[in-house]
Amino acid sequence: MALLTDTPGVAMQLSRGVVVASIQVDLDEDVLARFREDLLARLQETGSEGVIFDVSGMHTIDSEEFAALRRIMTMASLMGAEPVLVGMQPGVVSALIESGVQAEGLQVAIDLDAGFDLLEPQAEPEPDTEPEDTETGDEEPAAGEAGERAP
Amino acid sequence: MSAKRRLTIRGETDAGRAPLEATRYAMEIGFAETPSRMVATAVSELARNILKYAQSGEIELRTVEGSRGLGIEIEAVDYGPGIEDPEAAMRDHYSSSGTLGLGLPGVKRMMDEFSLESTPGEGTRVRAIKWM
Repeated sequence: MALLTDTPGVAMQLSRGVVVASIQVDLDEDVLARFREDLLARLQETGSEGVIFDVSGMHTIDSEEFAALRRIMTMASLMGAEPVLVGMQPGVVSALIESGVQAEGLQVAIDLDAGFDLLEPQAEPEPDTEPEDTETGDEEPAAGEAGERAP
Repeated sequence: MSAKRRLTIRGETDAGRAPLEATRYAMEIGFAETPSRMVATAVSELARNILKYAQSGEIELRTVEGSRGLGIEIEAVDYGPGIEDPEAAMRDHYSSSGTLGLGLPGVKRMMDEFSLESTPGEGTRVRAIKWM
């Protein structure tokens, strides 16, 4: 996994073709601005079709931080990367919803693994080309159309 | 009973630290995780308001006792321009600064008691209590 960021407090990595941004600090305006620029640049470079925002390290998310995150998620989707929010802590969720924030229309998952599953529902599609009639080449693995995916 | 804690809010760093302090304070008193986060999120909104409208101010956390047992009182004070129309400020999505406008109504919803006093030109005082 390549590290992709300069933003302090935000670890960004490319994993299984997906950009994973782990936010471990409070999002003040400087961090947000750098994160936004970093992320959009990485999405352009990698052509990634998914981006996971991991907020499991955030212990509070107030309404403005949440709004800022949503804006960045929208930007990511305009770059062609499907955004998924993962790792919301119970206390964070309670506080956000109690405070009146709207959370409709978000792709969310409980944790990173579930986030990956959401982005690649059939991670290992079985090649549906059955080896016809005879078992010809015994050791030959059917040349991987599905297995290998270009990064 | 825990001593009170005073947080000076003068910049982003203070505002970032305030919710952490509030979480710690709430847990010390014996609040569970989720209500602690609510208190912390309320403190975060109040700190943000202070920075946005008054540039600096103070938030004090106190332990209070009522008929329902222990609680936390948050008092946020600033000497900024005050709020022209406090009733409007308490409506969802009202914002005089072009932001989300969920700050004060959100604080009110997360806490059990809430009061807002503001004098234009003199400043704003918000008090809110969450019972355990």
